[in-house]
Amino acid sequence: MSSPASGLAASADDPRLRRAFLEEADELSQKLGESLQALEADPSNMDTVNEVFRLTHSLKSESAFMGFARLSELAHRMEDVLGLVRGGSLSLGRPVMDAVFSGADRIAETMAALAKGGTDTQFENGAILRSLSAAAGTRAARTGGAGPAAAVGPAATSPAAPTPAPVPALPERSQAGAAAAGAETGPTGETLLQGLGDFERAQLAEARDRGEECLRVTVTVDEAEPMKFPRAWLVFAALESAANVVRTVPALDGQPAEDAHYARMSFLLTTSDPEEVVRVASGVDQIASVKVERCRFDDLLSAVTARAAEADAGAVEAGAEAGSEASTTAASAALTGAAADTDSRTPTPPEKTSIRVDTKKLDDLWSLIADLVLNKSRIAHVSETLGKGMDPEMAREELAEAFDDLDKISGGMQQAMMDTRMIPISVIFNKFPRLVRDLCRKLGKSVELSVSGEETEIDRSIVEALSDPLTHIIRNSLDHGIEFPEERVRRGKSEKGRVSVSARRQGGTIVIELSDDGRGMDVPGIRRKAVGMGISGAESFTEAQLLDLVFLPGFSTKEVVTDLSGRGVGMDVVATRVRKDLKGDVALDTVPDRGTRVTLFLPLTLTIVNALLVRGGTQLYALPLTEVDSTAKLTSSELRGEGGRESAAWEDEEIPVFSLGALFETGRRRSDEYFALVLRHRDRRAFLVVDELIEEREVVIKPVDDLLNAERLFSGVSVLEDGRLVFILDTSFIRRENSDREAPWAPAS
Amino acid sequence: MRKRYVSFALGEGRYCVPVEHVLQIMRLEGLIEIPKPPPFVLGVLNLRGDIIPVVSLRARLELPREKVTRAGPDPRKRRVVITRVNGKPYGLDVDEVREIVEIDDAAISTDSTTVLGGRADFLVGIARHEDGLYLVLDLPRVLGTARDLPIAGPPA
Repeated sequence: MSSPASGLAASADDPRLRRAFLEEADELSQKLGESLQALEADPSNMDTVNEVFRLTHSLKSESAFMGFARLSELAHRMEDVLGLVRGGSLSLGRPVMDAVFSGADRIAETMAALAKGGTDTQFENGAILRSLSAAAGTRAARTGGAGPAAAVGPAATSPAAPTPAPVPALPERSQAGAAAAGAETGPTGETLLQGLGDFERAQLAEARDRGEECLRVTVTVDEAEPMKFPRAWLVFAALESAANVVRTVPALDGQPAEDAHYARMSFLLTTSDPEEVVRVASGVDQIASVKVERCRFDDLLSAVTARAAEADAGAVEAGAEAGSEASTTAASAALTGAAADTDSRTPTPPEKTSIRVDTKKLDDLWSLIADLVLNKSRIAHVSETLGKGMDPEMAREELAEAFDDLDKISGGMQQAMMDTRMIPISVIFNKFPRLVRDLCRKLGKSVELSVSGEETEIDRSIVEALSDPLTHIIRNSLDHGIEFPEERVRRGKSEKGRVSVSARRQGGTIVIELSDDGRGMDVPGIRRKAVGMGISGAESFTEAQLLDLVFLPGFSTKEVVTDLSGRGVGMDVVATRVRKDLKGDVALDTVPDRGTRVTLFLPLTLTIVNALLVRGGTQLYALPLTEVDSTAKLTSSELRGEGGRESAAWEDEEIPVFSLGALFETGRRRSDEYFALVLRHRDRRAFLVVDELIEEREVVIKPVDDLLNAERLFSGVSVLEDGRLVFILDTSFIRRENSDREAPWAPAS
Repeated sequence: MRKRYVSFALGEGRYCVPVEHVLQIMRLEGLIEIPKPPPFVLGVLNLRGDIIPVVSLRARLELPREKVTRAGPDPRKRRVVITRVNGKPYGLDVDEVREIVEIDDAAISTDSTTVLGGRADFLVGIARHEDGLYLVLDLPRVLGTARDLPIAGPPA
C-alpha cells in the first residue's frame, strides 16, 4: 500500500511510540530471519511454519498501527503466502522460500532505515511483492482450477466446511444476500464481494479450513471528521489486529482516491473471534457506525467461482500442462528482480541506542546496591558515635572493616556493570547460516556449516566491530577455500564442504576459530610471490611467517590471491580491524588439500584490564597481565649479543631482550642487574627491561590517537587518579621487532 | 556562501579554520609529555578525561623557525585552539588567536602553490578578505597521520 496520507501516521511521529515499535519490530524481524533458517532446514516442521506465520502477522499489525504502510503491506503478503503453506495448499519450494527470504531481508532493511530516522516509503517493494504473489501463484497453477477446496492437499484436515459457532448478534447473509452484496459497489466502482482473485479466494478457503468466520464489516466515518482517509486507515489497522482483512473497498493501496470516498468503507475479513472484531472496530474514534455481517464461505466462494469460472477456466486449463513450469518461471523472473533490488542495498544493522540486559545481571547489580546502602549507614553510624565519644581504636577497626566491604562491593559492581556489556556471540553467528546459504547458491557450491560456542559472551563493542571481519573470512572460505562439488568428489572428499565456526573463552581471551575443509592455501606459491615481490629473506621464511604475509596490506590483493588459488582477499583489512581496532590477533594455518583455519584472539573487553604498571624513564607504562608470563631479574652476564639485539635464556629458550629505554629512546641505564618482565605474544616470548616495577592494578583503557601512536606501540592510554598518563603497551611489538631484525618485509635494496 | 572562520596568527601568516571545528580556545597549560612523539606533537592535554594531542602548527606546516627578534611571538598570547576533526579532539598550538572572520566560498582560491615556504598541501586555499589574506587550513590533512604501513616493494 503505497504511501497513505500523512495524517494517519501521527503515531509514528511520537518518538516514544516509535522507539517502542522499533525495538519490538526489530526483534520480530530478527526472529523471523532465524525462524526462516530453521524452516529451510526442516520445511515440514509445522511449528516453525506457524511461528513464521505468527511473526509476519505481528510485524504486519505493528507496522500498520504505526502507519508504515509499505512495511505492513510487505509483511501482509508474506503472511498470506505463509498462510497458504500453513494450510497445506502451498509447498515450500525454492521460489516460495526465496520470495519469503527476500521479503524478510527487505523488512530488515526497512527496520534499519527506520531506526536511522528514515521512512518505509524510501523502499520500492514492487519486485518483492510480485515475487511473493508469483510464489503464491505457483500454487494456483499447480493445483489446477478446481477451486480452493480442491486445492487443499491430502495432508490438510477437515476440508469440509465446519459449522461456524453462531454469533447471535450478527445477522447472517444468505447466498442471495451475498449476491446482493456483490452488486453493492463502492464509490470508486469497486465491489467488495465480486471478482475475488485467486489469492483472495485462497485466503478465504484457508480461513474456512482453519475454522474461522468470514465477516463483512461496513464502517461509516463521522461526517464531522475532516480527514476520512486516515480514519479509514485506522479502522483497517484495528481490524488487522483481530482479523485477516481479505479485501477493502474502496482500496487503501494504490493512489488514494478523493478523501470523501473513504466516508464509508467495507471490509471483507476472516477471523476466529468476531466479537473482538466488533470491539476493535468500534474502538476507533470518529466512527459514526459499524455494521458487521457474517458471510458464508461456501456461498461466497461458489458465487465467486461461478462468476469467475468462465474467465478463469480457460487460463487455468491452458496452464494445466505447462502451467506449473510457466508459473515457476514467472516466479523466478520476479525473483531475479527482487534479488537485484536487495543486492544494491546491503542491509545494515540498525544502530542501537538502547540495550537489552538479562534481568539476572540487573538483579546482581541491585543486590550490590543494597549492600552499598547498608555499608553507608554503617559508616554514618561510626561517624555519629565517634562524635559521642566512641573509642577511636574501635572506630578505626569498624571503619577498616567497612572499607573492606566497600572494596568488595565496588569490585562487584564493576564486574556487574561489565557483565551488562557482555552479550553472547550468537548475535553474529546467527547470521552465518544465511550467509553460507546465499553464497552456496551464488557460487554453486554445497557446504555444511557447523557452529559451536555461540553462547560465549563477549563485550558489546567488540561484537559490533567483529561482524564484518568474520563475515569476510567465511566469504573467503566459500569463495576460495571450498572446492566445487565435482572437484571435491574427484579428490576423494565428500561432495559437501564443511565450514566450522566456534568460539570459546580461554582465560582473558576469546578465541574464535573459522575453519574449512577446502583446498588449503598454496604456501610455496606465497613464497614465490613474496620472493617475486622482493621481500628479502622470503626464501628462508617459515610457513608461519609466510602465512603472516597474507595479512600485510597490499600483499593479499585479488590478483595475487587468485594466482595462488588460495585465499585472503582483503585479509589485510581483517588483520587491521582485529589487531588495531580490537587489540586482538589473528593467525592462519593451513594444510594442502585439507583446509585452512583462521583463528582470532580477542580480549574479553576493551575497557578495563588488569595490568602491571612499570616505569621507563619518567614515563609510566602498563602491560596487560594476560600478556605477562613472569617477572625476572637479569644480570648483565646473562645477556648475549649487543646493540639492541640482545637475548637471554628463559626456560631453556633463548629469547630476545627489549628495553623501555631503547624502545622509547629515553636511554638505557647501564647496570649489572635489570628488572625485566617476560612478555608473551602468541607463540613468542621476550624480556622487557624496565626501570621499575610499580604495582599490579586495574586500568581503564581509552583509545590512543594515531598521532601519538605512529609506531603502534600502544594499545591504549589510561589516566591515573593523580592525572598521570599511563601508556598501555601493545606487546605485539615483540613479534614485529623480531621480524624487523630478520627484515621480513623490508624492501630489498 | 559565506562561512565563519576562527583566525589566528602563526609568525607572519594569518590562518583560519571553520568555526564549527573549534571546540574551545585555551592557554597552553598542563601539557603532558608523551614518549617518543612525532616531531610536530608537543604532548597531550587532559581535558576532563579526554586525552587531546597538541600539535605544533609551526612544526607541522614546516614553517621556518621564528627569528628571535623583539617582533617575535608574545608568549602571553600563545593559545591552544581545540578542534574536533573526524569526531576526535586535537589541540593546535598557535601564536595568537585573532577574531572570527566571514569568508565567502568564492573568495577562496585553491590554486595556491608555494605559500610562505610552508606546506601548501595542508591548505584548502587562500582566502581574500578585506583585511588581507588568510590561509585556510585543511584540518583533516593537517591532523591526519598520512602514514601508511610499510609495504613490500613494488610487485616484480
